[in-house]
Amino acid sequence: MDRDSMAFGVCVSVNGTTKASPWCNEAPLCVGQRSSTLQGITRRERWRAARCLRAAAPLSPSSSPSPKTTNAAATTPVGSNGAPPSRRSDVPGGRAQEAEAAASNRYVQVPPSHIRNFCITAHVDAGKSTLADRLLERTGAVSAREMKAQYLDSLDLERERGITVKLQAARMNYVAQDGQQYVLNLIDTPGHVDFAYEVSRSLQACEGALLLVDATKGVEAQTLANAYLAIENNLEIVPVLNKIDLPAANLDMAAEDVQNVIGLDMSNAVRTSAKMGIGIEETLEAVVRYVPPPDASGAAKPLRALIFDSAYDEYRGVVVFFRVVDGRVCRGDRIRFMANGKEYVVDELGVRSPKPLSVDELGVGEVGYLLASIKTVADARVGDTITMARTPATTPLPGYKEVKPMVFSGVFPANADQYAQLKDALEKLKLNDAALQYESESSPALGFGFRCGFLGLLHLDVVIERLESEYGLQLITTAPSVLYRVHTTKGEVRPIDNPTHLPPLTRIERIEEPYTRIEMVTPAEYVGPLMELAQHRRGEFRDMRYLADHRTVLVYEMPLSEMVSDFFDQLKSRSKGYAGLDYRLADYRTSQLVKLDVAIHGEVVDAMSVICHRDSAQAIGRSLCTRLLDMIPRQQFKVAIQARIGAKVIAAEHLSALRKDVTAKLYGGDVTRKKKLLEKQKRGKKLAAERALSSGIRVPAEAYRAILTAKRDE
Amino acid sequence: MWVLSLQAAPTSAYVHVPFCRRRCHYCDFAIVPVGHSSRVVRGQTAKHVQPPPPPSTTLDTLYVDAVLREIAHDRRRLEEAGVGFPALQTLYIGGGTPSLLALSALERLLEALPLALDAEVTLEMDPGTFDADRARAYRSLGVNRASVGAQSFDDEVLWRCGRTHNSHDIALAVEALHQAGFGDRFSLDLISGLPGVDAPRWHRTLEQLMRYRPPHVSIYDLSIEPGTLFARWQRDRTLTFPAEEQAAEMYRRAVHVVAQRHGYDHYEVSNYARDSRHRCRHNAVYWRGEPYWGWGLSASSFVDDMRVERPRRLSDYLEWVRDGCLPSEAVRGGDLDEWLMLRLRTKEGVGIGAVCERFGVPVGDAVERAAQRLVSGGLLQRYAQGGDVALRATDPDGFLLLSYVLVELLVDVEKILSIGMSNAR
Repeated sequence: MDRDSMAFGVCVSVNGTTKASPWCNEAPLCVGQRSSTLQGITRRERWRAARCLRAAAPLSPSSSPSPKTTNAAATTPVGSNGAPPSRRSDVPGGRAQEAEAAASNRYVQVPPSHIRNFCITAHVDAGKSTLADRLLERTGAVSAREMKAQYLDSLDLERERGITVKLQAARMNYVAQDGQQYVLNLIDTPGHVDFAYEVSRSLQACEGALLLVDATKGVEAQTLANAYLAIENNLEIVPVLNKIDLPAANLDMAAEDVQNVIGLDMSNAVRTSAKMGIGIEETLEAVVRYVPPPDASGAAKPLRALIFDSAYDEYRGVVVFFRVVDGRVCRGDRIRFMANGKEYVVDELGVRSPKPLSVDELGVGEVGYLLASIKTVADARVGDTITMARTPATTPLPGYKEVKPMVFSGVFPANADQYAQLKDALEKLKLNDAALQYESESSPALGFGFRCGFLGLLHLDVVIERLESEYGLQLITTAPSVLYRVHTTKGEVRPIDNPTHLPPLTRIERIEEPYTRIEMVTPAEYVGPLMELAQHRRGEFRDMRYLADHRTVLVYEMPLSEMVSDFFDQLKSRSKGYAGLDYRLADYRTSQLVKLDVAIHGEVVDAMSVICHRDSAQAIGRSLCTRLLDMIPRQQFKVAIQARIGAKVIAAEHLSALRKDVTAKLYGGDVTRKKKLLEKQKRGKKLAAERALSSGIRVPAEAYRAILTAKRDE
Repeated sequence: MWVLSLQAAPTSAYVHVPFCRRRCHYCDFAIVPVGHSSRVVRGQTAKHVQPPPPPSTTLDTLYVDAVLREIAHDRRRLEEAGVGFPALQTLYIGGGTPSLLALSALERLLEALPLALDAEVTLEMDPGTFDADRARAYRSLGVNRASVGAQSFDDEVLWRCGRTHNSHDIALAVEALHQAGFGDRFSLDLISGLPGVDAPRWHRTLEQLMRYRPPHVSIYDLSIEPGTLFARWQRDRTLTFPAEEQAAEMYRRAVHVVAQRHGYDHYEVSNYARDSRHRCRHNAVYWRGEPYWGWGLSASSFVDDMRVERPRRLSDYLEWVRDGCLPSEAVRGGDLDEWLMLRLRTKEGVGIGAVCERFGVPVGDAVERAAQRLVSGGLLQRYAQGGDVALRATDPDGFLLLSYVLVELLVDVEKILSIGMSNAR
């Protein structure tokens, strides 16, 4: 496994809120245990997360000038060694900025030596979006007026309408203090751990990263992960201490923290307050000074461009965002995607300023987008290399991999009639979500549905949320499972993502499960409870480091399956909300795993089966039975709810028979009220009604996910 | 909205009288605890009335004025639609404790209402609030049926419920009713499942009940309503209530004693008549889904297929009347859910033919098909009703699980209908 595929983790934040900004592409949390963790997040935030997975802002024809006009009117070529127009010296004071701003919204060509490709990496809430806004504003990519009107005020509304969603990249023109014209490409990165691979590709498209540190907080869980990710991708890191205007800011502490924990030299750290507009100029200067220019040595080589993002636009097909590494690409070129070999003709080529500006060609080091009548984002996968069809490069850029789902869940329509609609909806989502996988599945308990694979729990949650809200489906989802490797006695290795498919015990030699390396950053007083939590979840202690300000980093290795439950909720509650979490996939290890079945009135409900560790099976089984006791509707007969391993019952509860359920007094005044109650009961029944067991017991949808919150310890 | 057709003008009416001495611990009705209602109106209440009442106005005068104004509104609406106020076949004055109302106030109320010759006029009376003279006075005002909230014959239980009377008061009340000529027209109400009642006690209560041989009996299984003291005590476990199993057993026991042993007609979930002549005609209007007027605080009416609920707070109600009794929260009634919910409460149940007639043959068929599972489960029963096939809840099994039966039935009906529809497509 190469480093990229190891990089499963970026961020998890406890506070988890992200400010709305066109830059903010961060899914605002978390190891999101669908049923439980995400309850802590508002609907709105979840919705935002959902939007982040959605299509890019449509490149509407009206907003993108035709190539001719663009070239004629807006292109200001600047010779590689010719004197750049030094506006600063010509026009004094504030007007210099204005004039620059006016010019900046245009396509300005500069040699590779004057291009800077960078990203901003930060813990959630460190002020990334605000800083990005300020940079755009200062360089005139977005005028102050537009900033207010378009990017701040109407943002929520626009997002809700799905107009402005995600800015994959923005190009800024900047005249530095050395008097020279630079082009700065800010590349947006998804912030969530589920999208670690995309993040790594975005970083690969950059030469530098601004590491934004909240001066009031110092190093946080994501700061660590992001910094390491940037270092792994060989980026020049420019530390920025933000929020210096706040009374709580402690610059020395924060700087010392970064220096001690990550080992970065903080002497050149830029000090900003994005909110107050302090240090913006210095930030831009630091980008010009410290971020290396792109390597232009491959200018004459065959085209190799890295796809770092792609998005589906309903009207124009897939918009591909790329970084030219070698050679050049022109409008009308016939290109090939090296991973899948598919060829397309470039219909439109352009840059985002952040408005789309159409251009004729893009050379080495440039960042841009292209349209080529591509039907689905799965055909233009992130990480793939674009080359010329006629003069192809011999080797693709390194690091491409097909993203593999990590978490699997059965998704069934609550109403069997909706199967076709569900299929249709999944197909549509797949157009813009290359990582989503699904295949049809049928379950005796739940009927026909799909086994879906997701990058992580947030991804799962977002997809389910979209299926329910955008496609009006009512779904029953089963407890998420990870991908197990089952070694059979015949010597085969079978990947199993569905507990139901586990071979009989006698044919299993051993089972391996994925392990993660987790880092919890917590105030010292919660170290005890968190260590206890990790140990209960089969965590193996690896390391403990001390940060400034009495904070501690706890490093554990833990099975991924233990995270796919209420782990994050527990982390939050045990640390009173203060601890942060980061995790990345480590490796596969053999564990003593068993399949735990649930039987209701003697009938094993296949969709409720889970794979768990032998030692915790008893506790989980007991807790599961207790939880189901509250969820399963009472019958006229006594119902046994059992947890079993094979034929052996390891825990059981009994649901008492329904003896009395009647409204004793119903007079005139009660009719309306009782009718409302009846309506409510009917809805609840109808939801579950489609899924009656052979005993006639109707199992409500929530019962299929009861395992998520089942206690793992006694 | 208020254009009424002649057929639809209700001939039944409910009038709510909210006054009580104090609130019972299980009660969540709209009541006004007053000690006594003929006290003088003071302070805030007077502000909600236009024009302001004279200084010595009593609370019951003020309240009956408002109710009369409401009645006048409806009368005017009827007249505007060219219809006269139809004579009432049934009138039910409930509460609260209507027997706390001053006789003069009750008289003004009854004078305003046109009654049919053989109208059933029921007044709820609580033990301890009336004697034989007062009962005679009620009779002379036109009241011909009494509903007595005995609730229990066990003083300890009564005290625990916060009732203001004891078992001796009940005996006196029954005696007074007999003296005043209500001997064949009264109901005794009991509550089953009260805290502290076990099987032997319940048996004694039923025996005592039967000793009175009341023409009509209502036995309501206690339901603990949110916000009541009982609800709080149950939550805090400061009072133990009979378990569901025991409460169900009390219900069965009541059926056994009252209906089977003493031959009463168990004509609705909680109601028994000594013989079918003694059934309450007014409640039957509710259960058959027929229209009725509703006047007074919190009263609900069902006129022109619309169910309207009146404000539940006295000040809100007085203001609502002052502002012209505009039907604010009207809900359309009379759908299938309502029909089944109400009719299945009765011994007669619901005729399949009647459902077909009102909601169409496919709906009637769906109800019949959906009922099969419940029939074979012993909760519903098919029987011949005239020329029709009817469904009714079995007694006591079906009655005890009626809410469950209803939801199952309705969910299945909708499923059958939606499959039918998609097949048709």
